[in-house]
Amino acid sequence: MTPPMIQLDDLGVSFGKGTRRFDAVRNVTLDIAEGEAFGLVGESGSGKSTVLNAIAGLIGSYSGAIRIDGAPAGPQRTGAQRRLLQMVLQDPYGSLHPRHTIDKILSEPLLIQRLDGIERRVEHALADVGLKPEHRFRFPHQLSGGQRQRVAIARAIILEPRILLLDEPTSALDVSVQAEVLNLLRRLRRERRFTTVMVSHNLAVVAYMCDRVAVMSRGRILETGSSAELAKGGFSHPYSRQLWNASSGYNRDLLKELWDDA
Amino acid sequence: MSDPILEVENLRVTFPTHRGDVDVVRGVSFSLGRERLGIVGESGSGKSLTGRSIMRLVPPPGRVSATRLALLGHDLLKTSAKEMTRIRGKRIAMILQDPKFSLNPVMKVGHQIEESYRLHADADRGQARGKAIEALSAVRIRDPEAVYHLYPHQLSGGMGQRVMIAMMLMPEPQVLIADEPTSALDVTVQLQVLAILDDLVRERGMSLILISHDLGMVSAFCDRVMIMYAGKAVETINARDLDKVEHPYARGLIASAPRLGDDRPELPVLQRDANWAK
Repeated sequence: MTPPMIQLDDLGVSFGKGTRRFDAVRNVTLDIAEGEAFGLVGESGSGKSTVLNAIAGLIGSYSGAIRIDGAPAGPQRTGAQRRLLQMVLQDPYGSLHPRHTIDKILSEPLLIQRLDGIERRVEHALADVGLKPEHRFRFPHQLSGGQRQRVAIARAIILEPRILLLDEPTSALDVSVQAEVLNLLRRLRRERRFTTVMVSHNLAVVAYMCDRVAVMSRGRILETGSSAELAKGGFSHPYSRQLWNASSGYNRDLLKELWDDA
Repeated sequence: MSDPILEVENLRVTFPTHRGDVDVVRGVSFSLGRERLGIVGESGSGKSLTGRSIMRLVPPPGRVSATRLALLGHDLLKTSAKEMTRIRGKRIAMILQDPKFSLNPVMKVGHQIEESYRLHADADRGQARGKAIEALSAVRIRDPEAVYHLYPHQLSGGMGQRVMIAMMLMPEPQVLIADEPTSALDVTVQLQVLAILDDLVRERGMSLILISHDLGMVSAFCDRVMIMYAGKAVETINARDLDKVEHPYARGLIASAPRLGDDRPELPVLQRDANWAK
């Protein structure tokens, strides 16, 4: 049997020391299979983005073990390990260099990885994410929010990674633009069979995009299950139920239990 | 219907650019009674500027014009800037999206709430303090005495937004304009903040304008919804008739959001029609 693509074994991340120590992630154990779309949901501060950052190798010290594609992946990664895994962040305004053209933004990862055929790869990546050749020599501020997020996705897939990490990829976008970006991500996943890990606070988006979902709160995974189960409200932990109820719209009857917990 | 509290007729907001004047809000008309009105639209649709025009807070060089812009029969366009400072807060109040940017970072929240009271009412510090604590408990803050002494950075997002609401409600305004009051908050906290607004609107007979991009949330919360596109109000409907909405933009918007249990292979993408903006 092939090993899982991403394996987290008793992952713990804490910030600060002594009495000011804050445990952002506690005892997270998780297997994500190759080609699987996995979702992490929870409220701000639940640790979902920290888990993602740890997988990406962006967190310097943690306890437990991370294995990617069967090999241990510490905080120090080799170039090949980095190429295996790319990330798309929430804010397309903040994650692109404002003074680099789209062409430069897309060629930079290729130069770092010393790949050839930069010209061809950049053209391909632009076409793949539905941008036109004329966008290539523009600056980020000359593009709309949706187009910028497409550039961020192009930058991630240009290295042909096997894992794509998505941190709230559509929450800064309008609903109509969100649909375009979600469709794009689903198409790319179908064509390239990425393993994806997606973080979002929007249950409907996660359920739509992922096969399996974990609910996080206060640094721990409370529950893991299939998206279908999540969508029909089949999660049993009280907190997951609360999250599900709150996502179904404004409803006064729910408030009683929320106040008690506040 | 009783007399409208706020009347807006043919409202325009214009910004000069080097290519000539651009109308950002183009002839919006509506009237507001004792109700909860939602204004929904995407970024750039002019929804926030509509709210700001009512407060007369459109930043220069923007210009506001309207055939009529009246609060309780009082013409807001003819009101002097000085008079406007008395109306703002006392008659109409506004809550903005992010409490982090709207509260004074170096002043205890209790003092900020007191300030908003003392500006409009002739009260001494002791009375104002009592009122501030009362206001904090009205927005369901558990330990108002303790929160009174906190600084904004010590509050969570939901608590900060509740402090903002407490502050805005001190002078008991007749109209409250809430511009994306919950979009920086988690879903469960969002629900709590909406419930507080709901109670206050009911108990005090206030009118509320809720501005948001979230059509689902607005239609579940408000009585009426006005949908804006490219600076125009394209349709106004009763919130419970949302599924009967006619404008193709609104229909496209509803269809393009994934729902829980969605099994559509692809989300329909909004096909924009140049005619909508005409």
